[in-house]
Amino acid sequence: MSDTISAFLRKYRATAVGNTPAQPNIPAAEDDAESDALQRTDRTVECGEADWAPQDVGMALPAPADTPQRFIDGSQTGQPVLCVRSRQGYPVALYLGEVGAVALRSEGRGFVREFAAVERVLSFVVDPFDWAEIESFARDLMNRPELRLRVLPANWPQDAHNPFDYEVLRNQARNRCVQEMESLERLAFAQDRSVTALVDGNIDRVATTPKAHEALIVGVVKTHSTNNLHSQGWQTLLQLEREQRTPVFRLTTGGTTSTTKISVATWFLKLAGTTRLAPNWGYVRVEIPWVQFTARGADRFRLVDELSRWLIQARCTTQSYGRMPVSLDPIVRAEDALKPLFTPPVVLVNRLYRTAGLFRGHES
Amino acid sequence: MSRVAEAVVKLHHDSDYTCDPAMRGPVPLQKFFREVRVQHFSLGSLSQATIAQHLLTSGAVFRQDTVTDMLEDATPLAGLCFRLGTTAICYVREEDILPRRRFTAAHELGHALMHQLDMGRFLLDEAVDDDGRDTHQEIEKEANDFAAALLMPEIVLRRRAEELRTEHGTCPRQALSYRLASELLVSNEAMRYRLKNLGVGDE
Repeated sequence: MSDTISAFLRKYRATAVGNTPAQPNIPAAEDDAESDALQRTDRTVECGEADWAPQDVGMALPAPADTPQRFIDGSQTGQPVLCVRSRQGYPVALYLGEVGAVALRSEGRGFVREFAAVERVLSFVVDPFDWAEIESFARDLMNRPELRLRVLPANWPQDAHNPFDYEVLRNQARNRCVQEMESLERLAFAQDRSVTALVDGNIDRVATTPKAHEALIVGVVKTHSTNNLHSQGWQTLLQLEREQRTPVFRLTTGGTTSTTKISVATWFLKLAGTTRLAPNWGYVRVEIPWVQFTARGADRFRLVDELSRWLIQARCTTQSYGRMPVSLDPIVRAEDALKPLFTPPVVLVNRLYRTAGLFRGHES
Repeated sequence: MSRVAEAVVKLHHDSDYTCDPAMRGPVPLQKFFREVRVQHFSLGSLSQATIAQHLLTSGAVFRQDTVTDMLEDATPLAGLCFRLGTTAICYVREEDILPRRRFTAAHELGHALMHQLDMGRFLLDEAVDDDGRDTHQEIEKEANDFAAALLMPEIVLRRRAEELRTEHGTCPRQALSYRLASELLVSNEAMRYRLKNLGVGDE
């Protein structure tokens, strides 16, 4: 059976590659570009654009039904391990990794792991190859007991990107792994929708059609790649003191898949702040589905304040944790619950090399 | 049993193939082509003209006058099934993404196995939709259904859904579709449509 695997790799002149640092000029992820293009912002939800100013969040906590009880997080590890040359000469990176997701539920003062899934994948741009070859390669990778690798066909890069650029094809392979991780997060979320859930990242990672009267979904976004604010909004954000928030605004995005569209009520919240922190550090963007926000009627801004207070209290306080100022304790715990389920990358790499008849050592 | 289901069962039998859901990975479409002695090729800028050139240069057709009319037609095609006596050659557009090429190849194989009597020299497809868009012509619908049934076997889909539900207590169609599309090497759109059609997975 492994003959198919090694025959494919021999035919396309596979060479072992290491996890070399990404080179300059890496194009933006296609998904990001797509989302940005489709994003709409309404900054007049809570006040006029010119009236934006920091808001104190108060001390009240949300009602039990609105308090996050399930915490969803995903993770992916991986690296390019082989480079094959397609018939056209494209240097196609084969990205070996594991994708996983976890859901923790708070019980008393602790957490219970309700969902955990980790899968092994080999992601690469398959389009330059003959379908019959990929078919047998993929089948054999899946049925080798020591590998059990599912091939993820990564998207062909957009026309603006050069397929002869190794970084472009490597990035496509990695992006496909991230998509698969998000699919597992959706599965983790779908397992129990009866209680308020908190997601590490955008809501549309897990839910594309939330309903007004379903349990609340809260997304906490730590990285901010798009510019959603106007000048007054940026000034407000940079003025935030710890435990203050910006006014609520509305974002409507195309989502992470082209078919989804989700509208959220969102605000920036300053979780941490000391004189030694850079001005762009220590805040997160919180989002809840627009339909769930508006369903609260006159209480909608109170919910925002109460959730903000809860998030401030749930902030990670472990000084040794690098992203402590923007991390939540339940999410850090979820990450900790997921990590031990991953196979050490070196083990997976060695298994693949052995199956492929390659030896480690010349890839670094 | 429908004509499509009969054709799939016969193909499995003729290829000495049993669909075992315990085995993972894509259905061996290449094996089916080999066993029924139907050739397939991917060509760039697929049209009747490029196909005619290929038929002549590969020696599949010896007399140019057999394909003279084709040589003048450069209309872009997604796929074409060319009848050669009792067998056929299937062509797909090389520029299509791999899962679509594979679906088109299965679609053309469906023509080769089910529609020999309905075609003249060939059946051409300017577009092959794997996402369930309405196809008005009966034989095109049959070829699509054949490709879907062959590449996405119901028994495998139901087994994977059951596994997901047993393991995690839930089976959202979107997550199932993502997982199965990569396992079976078909497009996510094709898989979503097939799952919906069969009523597998939760909305």
